[in-house]
Amino acid sequence: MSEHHEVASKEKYGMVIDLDKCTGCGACTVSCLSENNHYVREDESDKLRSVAWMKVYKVTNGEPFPNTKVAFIPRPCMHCDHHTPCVSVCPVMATDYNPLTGIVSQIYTRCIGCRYCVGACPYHARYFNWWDPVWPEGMHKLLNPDMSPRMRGVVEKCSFCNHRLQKAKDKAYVEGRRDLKDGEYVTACAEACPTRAITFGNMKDPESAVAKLIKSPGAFRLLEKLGTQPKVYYLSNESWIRESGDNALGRKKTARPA
Amino acid sequence: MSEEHVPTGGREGGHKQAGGGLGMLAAGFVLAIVVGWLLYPAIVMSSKPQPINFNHKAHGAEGAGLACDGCHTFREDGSFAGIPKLDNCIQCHESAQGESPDEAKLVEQYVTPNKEIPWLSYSYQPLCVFFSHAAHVKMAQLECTTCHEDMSKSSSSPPVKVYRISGYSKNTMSMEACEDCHAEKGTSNACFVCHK
Amino acid sequence: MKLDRRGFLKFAAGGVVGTLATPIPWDLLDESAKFTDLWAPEPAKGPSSFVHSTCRLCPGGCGITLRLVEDKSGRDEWRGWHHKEFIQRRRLPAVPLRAVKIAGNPDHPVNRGGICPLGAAGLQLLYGTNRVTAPLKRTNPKGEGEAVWEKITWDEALNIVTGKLREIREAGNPHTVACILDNKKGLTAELIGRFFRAYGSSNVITMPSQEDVETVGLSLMQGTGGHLAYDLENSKYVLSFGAALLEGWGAPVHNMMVFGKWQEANEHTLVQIEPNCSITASKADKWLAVKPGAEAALALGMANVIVTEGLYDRSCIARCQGFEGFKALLESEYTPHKVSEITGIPANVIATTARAFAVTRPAVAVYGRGQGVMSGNLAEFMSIYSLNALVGSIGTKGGVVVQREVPFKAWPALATDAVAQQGLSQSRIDGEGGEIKHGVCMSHNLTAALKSGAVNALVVHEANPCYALPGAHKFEEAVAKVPFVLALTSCMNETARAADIILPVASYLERLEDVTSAARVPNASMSLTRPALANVPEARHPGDIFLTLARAMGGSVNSSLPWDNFEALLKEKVGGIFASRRGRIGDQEVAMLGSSDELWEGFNAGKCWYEEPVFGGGGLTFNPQGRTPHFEPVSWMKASREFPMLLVAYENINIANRRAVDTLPYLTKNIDDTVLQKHDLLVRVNPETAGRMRLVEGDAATVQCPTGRLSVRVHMDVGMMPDVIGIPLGLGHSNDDPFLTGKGVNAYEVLEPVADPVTGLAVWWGTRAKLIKA
Repeated sequence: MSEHHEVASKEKYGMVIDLDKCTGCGACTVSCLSENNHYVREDESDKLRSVAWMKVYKVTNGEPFPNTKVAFIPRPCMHCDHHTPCVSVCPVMATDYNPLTGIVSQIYTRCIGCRYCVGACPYHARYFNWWDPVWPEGMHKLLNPDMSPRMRGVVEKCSFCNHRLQKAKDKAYVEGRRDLKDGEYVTACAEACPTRAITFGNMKDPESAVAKLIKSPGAFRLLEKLGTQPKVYYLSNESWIRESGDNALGRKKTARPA
Repeated sequence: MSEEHVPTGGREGGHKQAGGGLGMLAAGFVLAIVVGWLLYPAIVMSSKPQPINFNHKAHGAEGAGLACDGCHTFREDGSFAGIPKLDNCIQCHESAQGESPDEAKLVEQYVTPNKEIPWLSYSYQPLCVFFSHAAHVKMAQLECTTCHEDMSKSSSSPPVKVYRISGYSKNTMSMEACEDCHAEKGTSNACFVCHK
Repeated sequence: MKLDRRGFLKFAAGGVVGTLATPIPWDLLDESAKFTDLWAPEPAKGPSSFVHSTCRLCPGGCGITLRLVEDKSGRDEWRGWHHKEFIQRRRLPAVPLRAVKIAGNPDHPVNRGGICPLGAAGLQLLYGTNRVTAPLKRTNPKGEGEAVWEKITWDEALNIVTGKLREIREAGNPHTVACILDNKKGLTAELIGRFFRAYGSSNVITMPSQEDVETVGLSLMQGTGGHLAYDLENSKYVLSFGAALLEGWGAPVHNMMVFGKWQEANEHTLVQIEPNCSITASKADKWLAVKPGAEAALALGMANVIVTEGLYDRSCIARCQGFEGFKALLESEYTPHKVSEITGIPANVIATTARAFAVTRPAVAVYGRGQGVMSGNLAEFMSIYSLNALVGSIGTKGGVVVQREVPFKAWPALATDAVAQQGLSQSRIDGEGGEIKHGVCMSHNLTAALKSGAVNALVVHEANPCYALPGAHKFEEAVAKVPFVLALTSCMNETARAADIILPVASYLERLEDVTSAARVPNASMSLTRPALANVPEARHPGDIFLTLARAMGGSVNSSLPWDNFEALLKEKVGGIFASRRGRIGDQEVAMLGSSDELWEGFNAGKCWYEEPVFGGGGLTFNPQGRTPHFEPVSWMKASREFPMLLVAYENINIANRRAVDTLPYLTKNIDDTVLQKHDLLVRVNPETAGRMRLVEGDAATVQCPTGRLSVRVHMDVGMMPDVIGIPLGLGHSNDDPFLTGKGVNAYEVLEPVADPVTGLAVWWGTRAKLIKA
């Protein structure tokens, strides 16, 4: 279970997203789709059927014209550190918390598709595959061999590009090292971000960029009061953006997915 | 089975055929064993010959003097190259060195037309598995023979046994074997250590 | 032995016990579990390699790194299950080399590793379902239903094309051949221009761009040509007049990278002047919601404050001409009070912004509208551009600069025979300008020219005018009247479907080509797109196609284009960079290189040549040819009873709109459902305005314009100016792309270009409209 993580590990991976830098362009989403072998349906303009591990939400400050402002909240899997909701409910151990890295897994070949985890996740980060994955003729050539495509009937979610960690470790091992340097393992979204809003790294390494950023005064996490301790942190100097990360009912300004 | 315990329902023939009954039991058992161990593998697995009968012995310590990692190398990015490419063979076999028919086949069918040899892997792992040779060989210092058969004595390449249903090789390491060894050595068995 | 019931049961029991002692049950259980692994397709594994190349999907020119995977051979043959249908659906054939990922190149000076969504999705263009895979010939006459295509060989196709071109030339009418291009920068475009000039036609016309009006303005005010760039990275105060700085204007990734740095440094101010709440406006430090089209007036109001309060840069003004007249006009016509009435921005906001802009140095005023295809009139450009002179930012660090040309080796003299000279003496079909003659392309005049029968053959090179010219449907009708239409394209699009012959062109990942200086970036730069793989083996390099055509034409056309192939031309041209000894490639000074071959090798390793801009204070003429910057409203800004609202087009970074590339499937995933929902496009309307029309979120409605009507749905957006309708450009395609066709409506159809009488260039970004509940 996820609440017992007291393993002597030097690694815990986390992400910091600077919402003041994010322009909502979606390069992270596309980079993720391409890295993680997502198929595309012809009716992707129907958002009820659309799967995106890294989804960019739009929020507004709710002010009328001309004081309106929008901001964007990119939402990967939060890789919750405490009482990881999806891990607690999975009946077949198809998802677990890796105490060595802090990454929450999803094993597609083990998943039975009960979707309990989809309901349990407070961040809507999990998606169910209702359809067979289909690539139009010729398009399958862009599939990444490092990542397994998912079959119909299983749940999927962001893995912090765990396969990139595996590859980075392999490289280190061959060079006779056990530890990774900051920046050797980054997710596809962080790599792509044109404004460099996304920073990824080992939070346990005090010298890493993420370890420094999570101490920023404007740092917050989504739905912090649930106590799930997400490993995805957000930064913003705007109070309305910070408030929209904690959308309790009855608040005056609620985040509104637009 | 003793006579006192013969159930009432079998009173009529019970005494007479007790021995024969055991015989039937044994016959069924033996037949199942025969089917299960001899016939079943032949039905459920197909046998695929390697394109070339490769002589590991001739290349290894007793022959050309190569160690395993002389041909089965790591790439610079840390990934394991696995079965060598034709380039590797060409280094010595640009033209035939001996009189072996397999070497002749190599030169004629692959080296001369510069065509990759379609080797079949004995230990192919499915796509959902990430097996790190680097972690096992470089870090844990395991011998190749811990998991693979010792090929240094083998002078021929046996056919690859492939399950007809799943397409896995008979030699594909099962998840159970991985987990047992990890547990024994105190290595993590978290999903994302080996899955992707 | 007699087998009775009891015996049989014993036999069966023995069988069951025996079976349990065999691998059968455990093996089959295991197998059935493993079998489900096969339900997902399995990409073949193999070693990776990386190719550094350059993206060409927009004028940004980012450095990209392409990851290629070499598929293992053999493995595919022995994968288990042999049910045919099952295999067809799930087992993927191995290909020798495939591209699996495009990432930004961290060593490229334009983007430093970042990438935009379109660039990251580029492989879906390479492997797209609507690639043209062979030369195609139309078999049914144009205008008689859907085109029916027949695959022909390259020889056949080129024979038809040369036959046609020769026939027209021999009849003495080379000037009746026209060519439309989307990208006018780079050697391929120059080569095509040279081909047509040698042939005898000056009718090489580019698709509309904001740069058209800038080119005219720049030559008038500064007497210079070239591409205008802004040193945003070093500017402390950026006043953007509608440029979608963070949504695809200029070099999108470069700008976003700069924005990221601004946010860290916290000493830069961005003021966005734009009618509606865009992303750039939201991210800006200040958003001034100006009435649509009144940007010039606002610029002049700010100029008034700067001039009357004496905040202007005196040393720069000393280098300028016509300041006194400009000053007099500002003082009489553009007081903050008057400007406030025109623009809807309070006078005190105009004054405070102007003061902050004037006292923070360096500061820069950016002329722009959206991503850079829509355009205003010359007076608007001049008004906004003048602000840069007032704050001394002409040609300075943190100001505006004109990009230096990449020092390619010059083209040899053009050989023209009598027919060519005769053809070149004819005036261009799109005209030469308005009151001012300038020679900048005026694509909006093409429709009339095609209709008048002035064009016997039209060549469309990697452009989609039948979709993306303002008033697209009228152009499409006109194209149907042209006797011969040739389309060079890598993907099937609306214009290719109207052609007689289609030639498949290699995509940017399959061909060697130069990408010069990223749009709006002050550095001059050049890097190559590299032929990493050939997914469509039949597709050819457009440069090679024109060189082949030149050889076939013979005579002076051939002698003007003597290169064997495009690579030979490119290599020769790169020699000029070496000879100039300017700039650096990667981290090496060009001056330190031993030979041109070394430089060529650097380019072919994916390195970028770049050169720092040369700064130095410049000036300008405020009143060239007696034309002082002023505010001149566009006709559709006046409200009318019939059309009480204003329709304004906007652009979205996830809707490809600038090149011959369409929105790729991954991007369709990214388009918000407040923009596109299933097959319906949503227009943005202020809730108050919508409420007046009894419209609620998601209601179906019709946008009625003087030029036509569009069926849409309504998205209530508090960030929209009341009585303005916002419509995205780039949707409503009718080509055969299952991921895109039929989604939304094409806003280009109702946007009618209006000619600016001064320049003759098209002004287009909006139109009058009425919103009717459907």
